[in-house]
Amino acid sequence: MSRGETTRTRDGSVDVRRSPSRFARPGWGGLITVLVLAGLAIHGASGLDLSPERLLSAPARTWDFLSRGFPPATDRVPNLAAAMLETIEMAIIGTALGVLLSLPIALLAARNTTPHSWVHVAAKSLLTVMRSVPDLVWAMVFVVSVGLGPIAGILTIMVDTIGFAGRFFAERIEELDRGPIDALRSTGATRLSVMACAVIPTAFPSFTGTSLYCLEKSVRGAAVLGLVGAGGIGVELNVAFQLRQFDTAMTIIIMILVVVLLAERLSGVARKRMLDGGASVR
Amino acid sequence: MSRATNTAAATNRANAGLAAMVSVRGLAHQYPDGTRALRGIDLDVATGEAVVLLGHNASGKSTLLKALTRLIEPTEGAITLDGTNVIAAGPRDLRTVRGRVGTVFQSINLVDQVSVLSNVIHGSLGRQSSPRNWFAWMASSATRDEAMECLERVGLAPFASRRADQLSGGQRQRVAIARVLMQRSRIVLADEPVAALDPRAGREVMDLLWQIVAEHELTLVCSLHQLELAESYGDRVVALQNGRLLLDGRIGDLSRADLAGLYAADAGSARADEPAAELGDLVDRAASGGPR
Ligand SMILES: Nc1ncnc2c1ncn2[C@@H]1O[C@H](COP(=O)(O)OP(=O)(O)OP(=O)(O)O)[C@@H](O)[C@H]1O
Ligand SMILES: [Mg+2]
Repeated sequence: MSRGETTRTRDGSVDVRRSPSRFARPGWGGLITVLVLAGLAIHGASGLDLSPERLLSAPARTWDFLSRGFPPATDRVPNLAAAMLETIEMAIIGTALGVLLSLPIALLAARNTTPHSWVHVAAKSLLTVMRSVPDLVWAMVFVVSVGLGPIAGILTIMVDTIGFAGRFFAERIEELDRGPIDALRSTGATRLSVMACAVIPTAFPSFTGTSLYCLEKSVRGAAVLGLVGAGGIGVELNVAFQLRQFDTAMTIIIMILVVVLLAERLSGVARKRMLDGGASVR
Repeated sequence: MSRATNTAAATNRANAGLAAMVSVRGLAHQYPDGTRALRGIDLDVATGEAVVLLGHNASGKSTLLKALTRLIEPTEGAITLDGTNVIAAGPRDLRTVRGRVGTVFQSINLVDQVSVLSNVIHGSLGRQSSPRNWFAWMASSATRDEAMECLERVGLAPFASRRADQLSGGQRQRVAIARVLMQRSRIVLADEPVAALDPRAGREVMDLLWQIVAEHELTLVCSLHQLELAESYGDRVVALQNGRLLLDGRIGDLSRADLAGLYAADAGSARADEPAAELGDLVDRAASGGPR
């Protein structure tokens, strides 16, 4: 029985006052999706090689890592701090470049500011590609093209930021109020002037919020880029694990934790400052 | 550009004689969702004339005012503003025409995030499309001085460096009027400029708008909801209903009863079921009562 139809009462007349059924019956599409997902999960689980020995030895091995990790090594802290600093710098430079570049791309991608629908499609696709390829994959690509080190890391973070910030900027631009934009159009301003005077200022608070969030995300991302050789603290982490120096690895993990938490905290505070905390509902 | 050209244009028009400042023929607009907001509007407004546009909610007033400068692209019809064929204008000519038409729209028509002075300076973008006019701090001192004079005229010079979102509703509308001055407009389109204001602030803004229109011999089309304002300010009243022109007459030619009828019709606009009949009555009475 489909939704919102009429039912026949016992005497055969049609009861049109009945309300639509509470729950929509799932369609074939939904059913097939669930079956496919379940099938994949079962297939994956069966290929996991979950032998009893492996499961039994896991706690002991984890304990081995933890007991050798504590106390964390302090001898290499100055070196590690330098690598951490490099990580933070990579994140800042990459995010700054990414945010600056995502602004024009977002203006080309947003439906209401794009010069042509083809440009809109092209810019949107570019953003999708940048966002959909995982950052470690970008890092490997850039390590191949510019070599090992922080430049590859910066480029990775830049691309990752453009993919993310560009999409959010474009969406924000598309939902802006008509009022200020029409006010500028009605003065006879050029499209460029309308963007500079109305679109960017009205979207600015949201842009800064998104940018700070990107910075936070980049610090987290930058910490692992070294795993594929793209500079920063991840390089040290990789080496420490390969040499089974778990105490150094533990130091690095703690440093990453502290820096990421600090970055989140700082960007939270800055966002609040910049947005006045929003309208209170109390 | 600017004053000199404007004067030359004015002389041309004077020589040409009777050209209307605003001339609309068969204007129609259909929104993408199929709503027919305008259905064949004919309207002429002479230079220096002030027209009050009345009509119920959803009668098409805002659509008409926006369609005049193609902020909304009309689906059909002809528009001539200050001698320029607006429909045929290319992007550059369209910007020139828009530059000559100042707008004071309902409440959100300033850029909240920048200063009051920047908002006024934006009025010059139509004639001086320089990035220096994007923000007050980049503008030339001549431009800043002119913008300050405009703010002075509307009594808001002390607020020049405030952010626009820190103004009251009445002050915001006065900033929009200052922007019209900065534009050196010849035509002003106002869409319910006092709808969001209390009666006193509303009067102040209306007084200011009408004074400025008179001082600069501007042509004004102003939509209003308050009949008493229409009565005290308009030379001529045009009423829209369902996207059609329903009534077009001198305010003096309409009898008290007509105006009262219009008032009643206006008050009835909240009831979606029967506003048409009442305005229809008014037209009959206007037709029998007055010479126009
Ligand atoms: N963006 C839009 N998309 C679709 N329909 C619209 C849009 N804007 C307005 N309309 C419709 O067009 C008609 C005319 O609207 P308009 O805003 O011009 O009326 P108005 O006379 O200005 O009303 P009000 O007095 O409430 O401001 C209405 O039926 C409205 O629903
Ligand atoms: Mg309106």
